[in-house]
Amino acid sequence: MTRRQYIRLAIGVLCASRKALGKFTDEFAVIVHPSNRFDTLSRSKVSYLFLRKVSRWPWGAEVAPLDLAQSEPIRRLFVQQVLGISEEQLAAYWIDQRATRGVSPPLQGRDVEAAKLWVAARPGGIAYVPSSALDATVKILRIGS
Amino acid sequence: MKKYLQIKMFSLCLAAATAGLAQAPASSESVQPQEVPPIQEISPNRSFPLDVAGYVDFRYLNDDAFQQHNFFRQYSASLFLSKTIGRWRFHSEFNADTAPELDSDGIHLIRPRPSLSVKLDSAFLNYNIRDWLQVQTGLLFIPTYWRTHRYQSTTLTVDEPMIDQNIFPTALKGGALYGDKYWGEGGVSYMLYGGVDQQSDFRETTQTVVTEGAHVIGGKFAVHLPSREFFSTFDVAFHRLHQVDRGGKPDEMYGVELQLRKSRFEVLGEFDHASLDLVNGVRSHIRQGYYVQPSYRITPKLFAVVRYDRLNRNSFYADQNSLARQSAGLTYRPIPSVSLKIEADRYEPQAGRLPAYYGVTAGAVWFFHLP
Repeated sequence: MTRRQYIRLAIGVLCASRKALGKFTDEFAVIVHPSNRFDTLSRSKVSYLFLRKVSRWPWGAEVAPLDLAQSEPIRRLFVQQVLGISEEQLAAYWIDQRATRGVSPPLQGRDVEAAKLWVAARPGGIAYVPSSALDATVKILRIGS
Repeated sequence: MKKYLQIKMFSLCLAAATAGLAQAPASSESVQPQEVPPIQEISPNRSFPLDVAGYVDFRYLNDDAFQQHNFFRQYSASLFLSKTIGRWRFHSEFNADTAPELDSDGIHLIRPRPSLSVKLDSAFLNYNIRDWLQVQTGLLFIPTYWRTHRYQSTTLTVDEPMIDQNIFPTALKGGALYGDKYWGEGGVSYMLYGGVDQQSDFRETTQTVVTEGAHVIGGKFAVHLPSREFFSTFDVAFHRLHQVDRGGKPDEMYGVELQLRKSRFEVLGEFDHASLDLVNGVRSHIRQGYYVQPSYRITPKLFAVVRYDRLNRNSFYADQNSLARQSAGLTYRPIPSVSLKIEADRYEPQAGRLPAYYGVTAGAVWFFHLP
């Protein structure tokens, strides 16, 4: 195999993996406060908000993520597709964050209605809900590839 | 007069900069938020005035002292107390340990005994100006990868790599500026720190640790490399530290770190080097070591890990002071807060001049948090 063929193969693998990650299910939607200036954010940026790697929106509002309880069926989909890790890896991540930085995971919402209430009441709020539960009190934040 | 004007100008600039930092950011609230509902309506979690977490850990370890290889049991417990209010965050770590000789950092809270120490390992106050500019002051850990992420609930191995606590000092009393900035998938992190460190010093043949104050200044720069999502983590970091001990002799240290994760695979690697007791730029001796640790997630709860580990504590007596270790182990996490580990080790003392010896180590950890 020549060097050029190796490079083509590497580029092919990179593109294939990118295509695989670029797909998101339409079963859930990420929601923000209606005043939020963003319409679309990349998957990695949304993950930074939920993993508390970014604490403020560019205009200064504090990022206030709300998670859903593990019993909610769409939570696993969200964790896998947007955070890009498994539930077990997420739990290990929060143990590490609590120990090293004293940072706790986002609060867990009682249910989907509570998630919408949370986001509608906070300019920096962000959460995710089933697409079927969307209403006018919140704004959809589309996830770009 | 000119100097007075310069000082005045500087003061005005500083005041303007401070006002800029403290200024409330522009609001985007064209839509007024609804009334904030009580937290009990939102979450079933009980609220608590303080975030409380910790872990209890039991380890059956092989002593890596160079002239002896005996086994011993270690019990330890750590407690983390944290509180975040707006941009301020306080975090502290308390540690009780039945093998105090393995823990070289912290401030003793009770008179140390041969088989028990209770210490404040870390306590800091953090102010978030921006995510890329944060200020921290207190008792801080030196930010080598393993020192920062050494907690038994999250590590895959039972024992720490030999370079941990043996090359870089472990903690300092002082302050730090640090931050992160992300662009898309990639980003950078930095930390600049200074203060009085708790330098570890070693006799040539035993692991006796003597801590002493030294003035330290250092920095770490990490790049989170974008890989078009081929790797989920691709971090490379460079670390530099300069310290002057009580005798006035400077030491220079540097380290390089790598963390690579792709699907079920992860590789950690660290290389640290210390040039010690420099006189006119000429070092008395060096201390250096490295480890490479690949791991594989067999199932969501079961991990396999191997590590190659090497340390040379003093280049004057390189033969007597070098030790290599190869480890292979399994970690099982039936639930995320419980970690059960077992590991087989092979030690090569004195650069192969002595016969290799073998050992088995095991550990059990339980992590808890309130609320």
